[in-house]
Amino acid sequence: MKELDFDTFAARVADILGAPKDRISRLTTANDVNGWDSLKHANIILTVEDLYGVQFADEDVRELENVGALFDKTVELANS
Amino acid sequence: MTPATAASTPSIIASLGRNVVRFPHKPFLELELPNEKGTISYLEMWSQARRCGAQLVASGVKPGGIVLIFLPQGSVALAYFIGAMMAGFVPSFMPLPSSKQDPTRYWSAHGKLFDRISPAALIASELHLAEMEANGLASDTTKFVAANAFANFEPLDPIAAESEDTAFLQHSSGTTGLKKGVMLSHGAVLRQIEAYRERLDATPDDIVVSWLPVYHDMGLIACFAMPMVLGQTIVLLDPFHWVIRPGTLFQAIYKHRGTLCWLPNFAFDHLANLVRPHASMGLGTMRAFINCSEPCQSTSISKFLERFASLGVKPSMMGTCYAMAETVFAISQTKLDREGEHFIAVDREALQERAEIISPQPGQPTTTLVSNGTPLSGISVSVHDADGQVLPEGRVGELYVASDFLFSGYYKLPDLTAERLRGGIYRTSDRGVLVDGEVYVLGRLDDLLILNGRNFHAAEIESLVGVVDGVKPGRNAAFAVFKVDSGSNELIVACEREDPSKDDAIRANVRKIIFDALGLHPSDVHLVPPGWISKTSSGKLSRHVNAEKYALEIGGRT
Repeated sequence: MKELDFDTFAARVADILGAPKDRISRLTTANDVNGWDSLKHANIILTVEDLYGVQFADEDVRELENVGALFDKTVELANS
Repeated sequence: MTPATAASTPSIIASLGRNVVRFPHKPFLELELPNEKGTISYLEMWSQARRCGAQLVASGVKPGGIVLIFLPQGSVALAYFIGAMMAGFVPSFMPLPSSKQDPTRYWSAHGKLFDRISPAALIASELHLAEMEANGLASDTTKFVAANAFANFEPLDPIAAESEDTAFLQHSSGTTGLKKGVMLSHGAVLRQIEAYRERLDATPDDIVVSWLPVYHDMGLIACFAMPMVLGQTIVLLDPFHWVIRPGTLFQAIYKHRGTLCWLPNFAFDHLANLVRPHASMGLGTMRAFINCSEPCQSTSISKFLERFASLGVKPSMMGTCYAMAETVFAISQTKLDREGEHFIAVDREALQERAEIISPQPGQPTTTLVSNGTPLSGISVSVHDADGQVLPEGRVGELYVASDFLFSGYYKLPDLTAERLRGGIYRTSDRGVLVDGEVYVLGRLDDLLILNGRNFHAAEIESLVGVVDGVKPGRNAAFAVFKVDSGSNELIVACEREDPSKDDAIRANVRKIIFDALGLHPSDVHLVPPGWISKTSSGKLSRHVNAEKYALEIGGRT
């Protein structure tokens, strides 16, 4: 499992979205980033699951509001 | 098991009834949804649908009226659809908003549509009915039917429908007044299914595996109506869940020994990009993966074949289809036992400059086209120039179709029906060509954007964007750009604005207004200075010019 720090996490998300790293903060939502559609979202979820050895529930995937919430949920699942 | 024929009964319900008698305990549905698992037999679905129909009658829904079904993918939605037909109503599946769409904006956008079509009933959960009422969609003539009470009603006896009675409406994408209901008769649906059955060599032994939403024509006809009429089993998945967990499609195929699966082009890429082959995903039972509903790409098909060869996917399993709601579904389809490639390489310059197909010339660039097969029996396809004159094979023009399974018209849109359906010929607005009797679809002639297999009008998107604070009224353009990595067109919106300091807010608001109304995410919101958007001398938007300008401007970023 990779170490969990937000900067690394955000860089990976930016990489999948093809967005500059400085565009991704804890408050970033899909509305803020060009190209963040449901297919890219799936890519982010599956990549994070692989990298950090976690599995999100469907409700989490639906309800997570921003990159910060996604990171926090990942930390929670990784530590549970 | 002997092949069923669809044309020997007068209605879809009569066909289903025949199957209930033939094999009452055969699985009609195998449910692989997050919130619904298990098997529902033909007899169980028949009984449940009869109760749903009885609830509609008891609720006082106007006889013969339009019944809109706003329910999540699952057995209850299908039972209400069948039950509405049994009771003589005209059902239509409608999409639900996702949990992230603004419900107020979503439901209030339905006002224009409801004013035009005056639905006799809306079937939904109590939560969604309350949201619709709160957003002004209640009327004296529309009954609100909660989808949790059908079990309390005694089953009704299905009424006998005539072949040319309207069976159901298939609504196009979008939420405003531009949404149109394609009227399909029982006879047209059954004739299409019979022609398509013949092309696919389909039998009741086929197992159709689908995550496609049933409000989409491919989900509705190929993966619900056709299996129901032919006595096949449907393995049903949830569209949202599939996008996040694409491997569940292969697991369901393996578990239920699936044989047929329809997918839009982007889905071949999504599967190839994200699914890792696994022992729980054997695909050797499959007869066909059929690529349909958006232009088929040779790169997507090749990538899928290469990625999943280890699971048993073979070139002979790859089918392609050209379909639209106005012909019920399929116009043309490749034969499933076809050997060899579905692709042809043609001279690029001749195609682009002279709109004609010629063989590759030595040293000249080529373009690869994907065949959509030959037309089904009972349908003819011709290619026409802008004046309506028939063009010979190898010349590119507008595709026209004539068939005995055409739609009856657009519901309560007589002018549009007259424009598109003349003398039994439907003008598709698709640009294409015939080569050796096979249909090749190259794009659209109008402003319809095909995005991940769904159709949207550019004007509808531009109208939404035009009210965003900071965007110059009437100065934005929506167009599609093909992206190789996703295997689909993606939406680009170019907007003129005065003040670049507000770009982040404008971009977020444009994305939000489109998502709330249509559930779509633009790939790029391109903000430009006043004067950037090109219009013709008569003031009409020139979308292809704006698309070319965009491509030049962002260069390697596409």
